[in-house]
Amino acid sequence: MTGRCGRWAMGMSDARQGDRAWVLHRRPYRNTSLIVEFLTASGGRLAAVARSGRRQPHLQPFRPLTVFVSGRAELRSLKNAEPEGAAIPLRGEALYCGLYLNELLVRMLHRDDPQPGLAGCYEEALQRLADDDWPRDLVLRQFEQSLLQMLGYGLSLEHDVHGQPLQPGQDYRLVPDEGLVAAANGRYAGRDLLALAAGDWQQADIRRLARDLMREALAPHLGDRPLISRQLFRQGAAHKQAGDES
Amino acid sequence: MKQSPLVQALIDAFTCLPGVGARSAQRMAYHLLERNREGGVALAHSLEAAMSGVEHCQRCRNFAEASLCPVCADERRDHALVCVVESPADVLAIELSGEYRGRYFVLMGHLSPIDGVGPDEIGLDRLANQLHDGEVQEVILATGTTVEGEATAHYIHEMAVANGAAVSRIAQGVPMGGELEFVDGVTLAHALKGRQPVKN
Repeated sequence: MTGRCGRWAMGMSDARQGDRAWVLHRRPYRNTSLIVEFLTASGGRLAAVARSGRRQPHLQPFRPLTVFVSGRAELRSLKNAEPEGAAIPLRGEALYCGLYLNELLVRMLHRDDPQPGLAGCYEEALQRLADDDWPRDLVLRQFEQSLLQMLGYGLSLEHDVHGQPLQPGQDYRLVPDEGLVAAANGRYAGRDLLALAAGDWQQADIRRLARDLMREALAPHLGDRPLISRQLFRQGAAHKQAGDES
Repeated sequence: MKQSPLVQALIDAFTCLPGVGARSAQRMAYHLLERNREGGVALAHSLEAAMSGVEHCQRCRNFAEASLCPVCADERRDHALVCVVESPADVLAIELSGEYRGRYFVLMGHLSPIDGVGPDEIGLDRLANQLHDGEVQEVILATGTTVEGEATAHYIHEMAVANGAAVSRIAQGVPMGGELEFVDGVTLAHALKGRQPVKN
């Protein structure tokens, strides 16, 4: 039983009631145990001690699980974790993208704050990352947008903070957590923002704008430390370039 | 009840060990003081000597007392062949197999963005220099089979290819002498995917 979005299961963490979950992060604890951060379908992010967890190869990111946890404290105890099918096959750059999603979630989510729908959204993003037909930046941007929306920091691309429709000829700047404000010499051109809102993903500069806009919108929620997974992309791309040149 | 200051300081010092809490630390301290003073003194000397004398090998980052570790200093080994592993314990395990005549590069960890561990934290800038200088012709990726281990392997793979080095990944599958029914599903699926034609 997964109880993905059922209201009756929200925030519950009863050992009898399994919950669909994804491993976001694991760190060693004692000799063979792990402290695992999960994203669960009905309880949001939660942390649990997995006894002998280092001997359980399925306790890995990107693999759907049904978890049974007990306890009410911030650190739960993992009773059982059953794999629900194969791991999502993320390779190469898609794997970096998956690690980026996990880093984003661990930085943005508070523990035990149920976010109905988020786990489903995460799963969909992972599936698309594994599918080469989806442009990876598009998948990431859609996930970032949904995440902000769900956490209550949704960003309108059609109206400015005063509820006025965006004008193609006007420049805008972003006030984090509030929205777009008309500003002379703002960083974002209204025309490009409208193209983005209309789902125009063909042009490289619109995609770059989407990346910059999301980065600025996420920044206040990520703390001072830079996201390490972003370094992987940047340096990975540099290697590729060096390889092409040589 | 309060401990005498020296005893308390010893207990506090033991809690720096991984997996050792106040209770275990107290037990260790009492044991050494009551039953094994010689062992305690020897421990103190070894700790002192190791903490000031052990550094990282300048070539492979493994623990070393000189600028190069014994493996890197060994002229008979193939220095153009580099096996990348996560920890000194992995080096020991591969050395015990007796099959390998190249040298190593020890990451002392793996890429783990959430823990703040990026490429530079595991010495990949240094490996990049070695690849760039042409010191390394072939890289064997022997990082863990965890998600982080795979990400690390992919990163090094890209780096090596960009510098024209050959790259291989150690095989993953059923352990020797193991029975299939006790092998977990993940490993078995991987072993099936990576099956090889039988050679006569």
